[in-house]
Amino acid sequence: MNIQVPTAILDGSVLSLLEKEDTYGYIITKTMQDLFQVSDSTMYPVLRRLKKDEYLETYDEPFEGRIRRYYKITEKGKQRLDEIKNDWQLFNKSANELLGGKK
Amino acid sequence: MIDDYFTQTEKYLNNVPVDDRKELIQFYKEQALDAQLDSTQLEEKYGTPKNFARKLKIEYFIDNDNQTESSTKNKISGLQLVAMVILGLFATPVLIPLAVVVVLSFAALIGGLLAFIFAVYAGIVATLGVGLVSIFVGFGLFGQSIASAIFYIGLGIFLTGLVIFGGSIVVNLTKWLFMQIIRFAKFIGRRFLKVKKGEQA
Repeated sequence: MNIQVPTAILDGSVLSLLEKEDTYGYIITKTMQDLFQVSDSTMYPVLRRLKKDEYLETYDEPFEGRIRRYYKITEKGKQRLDEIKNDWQLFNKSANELLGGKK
Repeated sequence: MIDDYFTQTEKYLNNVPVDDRKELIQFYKEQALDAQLDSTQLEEKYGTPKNFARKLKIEYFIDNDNQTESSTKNKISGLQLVAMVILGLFATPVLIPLAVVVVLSFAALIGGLLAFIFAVYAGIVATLGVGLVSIFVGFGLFGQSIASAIFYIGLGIFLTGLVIFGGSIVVNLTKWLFMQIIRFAKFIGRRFLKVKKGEQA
């Protein structure tokens, strides 16, 4: 995909993933790479910013003798996700009117 | 051992604050463990620890520079950022031709900017000088010609006022021009020095 994924879409997609269940960094990165072909380093700043803005929080769990960091959506994150979903509906509708029609 | 790889990478992240450095390393180490990468695969994916650390630092500081509310300890100066991007380009063999072009562009931009700043600031100083001398001369002419005295004092006040108002515009313009150079460096950094998916060293 040659379209650069906007920040709001990255944020929304991560929050949407976490709305279903708490998960860890590798799953988030892998899912986003499969969906949007983003680079490895794209996800760290996204997760860091979402945590800083209190849209998600982290907790550590032991796994095979090491620590695995889990990400969990907050109430504030759920509100943000609703906003992004609404914005996306409007954007999607407009873009589809121009780009979505068949030739 | 991937532990060695990340220990070395962490050493090269020396100017990243300790907490952020630990978090950054933990994130990538966890990814590597979950993806079951060995140290050879890690080097294939991210490059040597030194190169990996360089890219992580560029991304970290570009990201912080974009967040205006970040504390200053998480930031480096614009010129350091430019230097980091240039060194990053030179460290990647395939990007050396681009590095040369970028260095020449930066040299031309900065040289042009410095020449422009010198000319503008010399103009400001000269205008201020003429303004102050006019006021001084104007007062000296009161005994001979009141009209001339008022003309010179008026001219002096006008020129001094022009410097005061024009000066702030020029200062802001200078800052803006420097910001454009930093933005260009950030664009180059983001475009060419990302830790790409499945990157080869």
